[in-house]
Amino acid sequence: MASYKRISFLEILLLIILCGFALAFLLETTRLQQTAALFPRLVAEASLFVFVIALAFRLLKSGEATVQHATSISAKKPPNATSFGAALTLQAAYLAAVFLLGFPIATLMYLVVCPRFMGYQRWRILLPYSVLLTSAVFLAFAYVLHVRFPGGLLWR
Amino acid sequence: MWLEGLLTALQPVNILFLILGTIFGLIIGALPGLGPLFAVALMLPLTYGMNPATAIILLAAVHAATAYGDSFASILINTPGGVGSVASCWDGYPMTQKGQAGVAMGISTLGSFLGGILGWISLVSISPLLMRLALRLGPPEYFAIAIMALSLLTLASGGQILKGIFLGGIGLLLSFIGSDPITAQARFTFGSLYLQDGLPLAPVVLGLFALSQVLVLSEHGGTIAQIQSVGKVADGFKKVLQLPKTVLRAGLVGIFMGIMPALGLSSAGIVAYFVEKRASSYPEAFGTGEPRGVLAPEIAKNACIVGDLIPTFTFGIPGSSVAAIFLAAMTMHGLQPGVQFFERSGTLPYTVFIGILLAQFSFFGLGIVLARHIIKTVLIPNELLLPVIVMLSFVASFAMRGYVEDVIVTLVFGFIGYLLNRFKYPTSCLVLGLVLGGLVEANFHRSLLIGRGSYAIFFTRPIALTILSLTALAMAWSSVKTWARSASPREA
Repeated sequence: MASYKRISFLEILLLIILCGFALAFLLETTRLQQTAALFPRLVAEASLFVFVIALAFRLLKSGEATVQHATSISAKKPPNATSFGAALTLQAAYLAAVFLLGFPIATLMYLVVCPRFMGYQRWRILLPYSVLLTSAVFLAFAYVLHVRFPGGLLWR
Repeated sequence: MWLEGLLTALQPVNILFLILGTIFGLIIGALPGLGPLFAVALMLPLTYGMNPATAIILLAAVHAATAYGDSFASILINTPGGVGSVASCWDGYPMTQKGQAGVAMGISTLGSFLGGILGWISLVSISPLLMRLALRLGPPEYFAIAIMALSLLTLASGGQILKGIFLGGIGLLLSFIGSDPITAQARFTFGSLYLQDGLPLAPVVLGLFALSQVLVLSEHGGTIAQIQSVGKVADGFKKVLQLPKTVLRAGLVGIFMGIMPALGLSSAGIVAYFVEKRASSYPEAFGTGEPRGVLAPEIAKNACIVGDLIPTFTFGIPGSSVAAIFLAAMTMHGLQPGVQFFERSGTLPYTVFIGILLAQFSFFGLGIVLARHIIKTVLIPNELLLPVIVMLSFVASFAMRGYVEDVIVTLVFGFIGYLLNRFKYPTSCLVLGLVLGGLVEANFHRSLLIGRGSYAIFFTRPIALTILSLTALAMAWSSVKTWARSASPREA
């Protein structure tokens, strides 16, 4: 039952995000000149209309499929896997670390921590793999392609 | 003239830069998110000291190889190598998951080569004719073409038409962020300076396809290839040879998209994919690892990038940002595009054309060698591969413009893409709307300005009326086919 609620929450969240986009755009058109607002308003109204119909169909549908999906999701976690929430948090943490610590340090940390978090055990492969990849990408982008990576706010 | 051009193009220095350009293009192409625009722009300053023929040959090699290399990441790790290879993910990646990465790469390699050859033939043979046709098209016709492309939403939705149309609408709305094409008024920026330039396509598609897939794969563990096999590249070649109609159809779509200014690489593969799906007797197979779903976008993409050069060389009108860089290179080397380029440059146009042809052979040869090795990527455990995909997606998002916000956009759309994927919403519809939005709106307004506010302009111009009628007929026919297919099992 717990996973049923979780799935329902995520789908509701998705619908809120998408519907929120359309509503925000529709409200914004009220502040625009007529020419600039015409086409977006038309598209936003049409999208919301279709959304309402789609939602009605969704609510009328039997809950059977959703419950089955929930059951499959709640099945035992496969080895060397993690939840999407943890993976997303790691991605966000990596992004934050890039700007706090700089690209090379954050990337090296991410390439070591993420596989370990997912259950990868072989340090002898993981460490050289992470160091080599970080160095190769940093050198190629910074010195060959002249990309200016964030140096890290903490070192300023 | 052609023989002299061939001999000049085959000079050692030209061959050297052809191969170097191909290698560089393949590397940049294979990196997620970085497409031909990035690679060609990066190479332009290096051509200063070269003679004009060598410079254009180098740029042509980089251009063709990057477009082809873009498909590596799309097919193997579901991460669009560039905005032109989004559609290659849709069937290429399912093939990889089914243990047919080699077959998909074979289709991509030969398909890209054939697409380039078809584009080249159109460049040297029928370019003036095509351009005359293109120049007769005005905003109402472009609007009708964009509507025709948008009508593919019903196909892109894979049977979930309401969800597809809703997501297509969201894609269109997202494409409206930035300056209004007519009044230049800032719209939907919600006070953000960053959004005044509009929402960049590459970070969005990287998030929707690459990061969302990382989240999905994180829950699964194992490897991308669900069976420990990669198949043979040669089998992909055989598949391509069995599908001549697809080659021709997608080639025509690619050339058409290439010669039309404003339509281009980002939409060629997507449109060719859905045209192929519409032509297929089994459209439901698309999205599950259908070889034609890989072949069509690959052919169209490479036909498009060569077709893109037709208006550039013939009239000096760049059809895309990459073509604009070619135009800049020509001007930089003292070449005048247009009729003068053909009449007053001696054998140079022929050398350039031969160079463009050699570029196709160059990436094809190197691609065969590379494809055999690179397909093994899909056998790397996900624990090691997924962090690399995240890292490369972030780097690619950042590298294009150097904006932190681009990486945040990738992260946000990664989350949205995961939710869309999880609840079976057709993500491709959102991308279709995002790609075509600008074209639809700008030409809608321009048409109304020409027609002094009257919508009759769309129905009084023969070409626009024909395109709109064909679109309506195709949609009606598609609905009848869907209805007939859903009705037949019940009768049985």
